Amino acid sequence: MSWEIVMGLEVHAELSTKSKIFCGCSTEFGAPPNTHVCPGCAGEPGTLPVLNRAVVEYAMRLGLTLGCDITRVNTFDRKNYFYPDLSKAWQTTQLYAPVCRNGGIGDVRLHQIHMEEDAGKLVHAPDGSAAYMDYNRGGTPLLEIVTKPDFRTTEQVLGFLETLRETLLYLDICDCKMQEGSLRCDVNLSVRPVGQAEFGTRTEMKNLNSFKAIARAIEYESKRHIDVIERGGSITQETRRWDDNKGKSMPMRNKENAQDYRYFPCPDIPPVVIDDAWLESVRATLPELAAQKRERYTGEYGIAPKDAATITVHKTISALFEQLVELTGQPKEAANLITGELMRHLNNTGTLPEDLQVDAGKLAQLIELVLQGKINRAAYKQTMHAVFGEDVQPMEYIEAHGLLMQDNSDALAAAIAAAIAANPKAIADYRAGNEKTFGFIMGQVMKELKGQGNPALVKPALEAALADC
Amino acid sequence: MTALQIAAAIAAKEVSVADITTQYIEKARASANFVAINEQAMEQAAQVQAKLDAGETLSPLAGVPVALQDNIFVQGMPCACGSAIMADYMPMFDAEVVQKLQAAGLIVIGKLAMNEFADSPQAAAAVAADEIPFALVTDNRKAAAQHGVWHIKPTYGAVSRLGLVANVSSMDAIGPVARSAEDCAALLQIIADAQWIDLPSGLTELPAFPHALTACEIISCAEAGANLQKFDGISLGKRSADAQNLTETYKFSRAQGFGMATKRRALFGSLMLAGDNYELYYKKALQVRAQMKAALEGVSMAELPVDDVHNCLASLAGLPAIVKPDGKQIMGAAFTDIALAKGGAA
Ligand SMILES: [Zn+2]
Repeated sequence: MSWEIVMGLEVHAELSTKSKIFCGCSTEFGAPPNTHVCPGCAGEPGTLPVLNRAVVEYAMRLGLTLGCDITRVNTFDRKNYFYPDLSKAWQTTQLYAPVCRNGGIGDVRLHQIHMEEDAGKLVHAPDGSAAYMDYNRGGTPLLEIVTKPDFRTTEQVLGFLETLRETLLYLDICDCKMQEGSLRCDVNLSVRPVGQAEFGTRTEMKNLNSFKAIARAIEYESKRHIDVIERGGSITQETRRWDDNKGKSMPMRNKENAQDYRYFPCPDIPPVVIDDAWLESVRATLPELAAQKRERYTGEYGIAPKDAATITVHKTISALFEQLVELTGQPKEAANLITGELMRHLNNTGTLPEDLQVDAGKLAQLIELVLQGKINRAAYKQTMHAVFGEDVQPMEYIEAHGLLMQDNSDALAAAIAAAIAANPKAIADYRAGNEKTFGFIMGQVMKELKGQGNPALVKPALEAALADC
Repeated sequence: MTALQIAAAIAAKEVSVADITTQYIEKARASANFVAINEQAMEQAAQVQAKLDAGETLSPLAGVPVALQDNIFVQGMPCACGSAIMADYMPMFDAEVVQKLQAAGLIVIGKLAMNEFADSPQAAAAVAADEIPFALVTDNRKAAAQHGVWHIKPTYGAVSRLGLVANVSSMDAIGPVARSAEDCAALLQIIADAQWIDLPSGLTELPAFPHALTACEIISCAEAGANLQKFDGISLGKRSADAQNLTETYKFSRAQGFGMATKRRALFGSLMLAGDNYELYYKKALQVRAQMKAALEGVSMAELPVDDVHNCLASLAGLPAIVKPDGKQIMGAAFTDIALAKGGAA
């Protein structure tokens, strides 16, 4: 029998707002434990939540971009459960009135997007003797993006996530660092015989920390489903934890599966009304997205689609590109710089695009220098890597390394004379009409100039000299 | 003397803030109604006296002693809510009402005992016995009626809940207990952030609300149960010494920390939210509440007995109610709290 895999996703995106969803604490990642905590996000009694309106705006940005219906009267609900990472013993989320409904990416339809708060982190002692709580992450705003069960292949899942990641990055609402947990994805999966209308029993897989893990987990879990059913068994609806080291999914402890969250409307947060004016003001500030940029780069600048894709791989890269274009007016040079030397630099140094720090002004200066013929291509690349690596001042570096091209006419004349004198056979050949010899003679002149000759000057001078002698 | 009379005597320099403070601290120390005394009170009295002597106008109640039900935070004083689970709890900040009291020059004498996470008969008793001129409490209508003192359960939202240990979040309201309606009104005006309005007209007959009490029980137990979940022995709530693992920490800490009445309410509330019960009960309770609120829109003022059946009306609808020494309450339209007190006094 042939089987069809049916999947839906629940994606959690940690928002990059400066402060948490219900208090003024910082959302910065990686701070010492419990340093970004106040009585409010520590769940102390006597505190009350004050909604950070930026969170609603971020949700609106994503919702408007993905064509969702925006809920005008937003309410929050409490999801109750006991776990040490949840200091209040409830998570504030949106169950009954999620901020976005419908919409989608390509063929994949969204069920909803809702706002909620993240929990803290439980840190186990290496010897297992104790567990510690770090509440820094508690109260960090999240958007949970829930799709309909519209995926049939791993490629569809990864394609959707790639587009979603790109959208979140370009909207500037999430840094999408899966390794830091700022983008997390749960996969709901079931299988059914091809042609069958009803869905099979689904399982939910958690702890998928990379695109690779997602692909492996889907392959493992779908095989497991098919295997169980073909051997006459049945699938239990449950939540399973993906163990990437073992390459296996395991049922989570029963507690997670038998949980009744006893949701109810949060009595502490008044409804948040999104009126037309607010919605339109957010719509008016939506930035250009990666796909739109690619279209503009290929259409307006004549850049190859492959190069446009490379440039839009991350917001920091396309922003650098656009700065260079603005400073130099040379989109093709800028594109070559990025797809060539910059990408080489990132690969060689293992730098992630989001961590790139480079002074666009210095790169623009280099582009101008090479186009004006003041440095040759070799010097251009050498200086560029010094800018990437050590943030040097281009002119200082060029002068210190003797990379500036000679346009001293005395030195040039002497070099041409020397080359002509040293190569009588080549000169004779050239005179006899073998124009190919010109390149050789040119090379000899450059050699005399120790590589610092400016071809744009050397060529006409040599032509004139050859015509004269 | 009433609170306003004490304030007048202080203003007229017939008595010093220190004298009055000493007098009430002694009473509080001797009273079983108090669970904690503010050791900073004398120092604060001196500061208030200095300001008054310098000619500063603080408020019509400057220098008057006040006490707080033990569910309102004063930094540096334990806050136990009458519960073993909060026995060692030290608040991290002053309640907003406490900040307002201090700015107005009132002297917090101490904290009053209370039923676990509920009302405070001790507050009403202390005021009735002049162990304190007046006090701030959360809805204390039954105890006030029993002790023949004045009490305002204010309009929901008129008084900040910051620094109040949440019990029923959608109904909790801090209000005054006093021996005169004028004292109640004066104290409420200091702690509230509200645009008060006058009473539009006279008494109204109320329609019957047969499901109000049930709705009130469902909502208040569910909210209270949820609010008390955080006292689980992890970062909040006294951790049981008998617990060997996480589950036992939850089970034993909560079993040992909460009293029976609280457990019963929390369990009932939890049940009302479990599985299909949300749709069957909780959602219906919210509907009853919404219908009731709408039906009470046009009501100006109604005199009612003080009992569960009638108390729940103002609680559910968030309306103000003033309890008079005769044991009756008058419920009014939203934000007519001060007008109700004046009308009650007339
Ligand atoms: Zn905080």
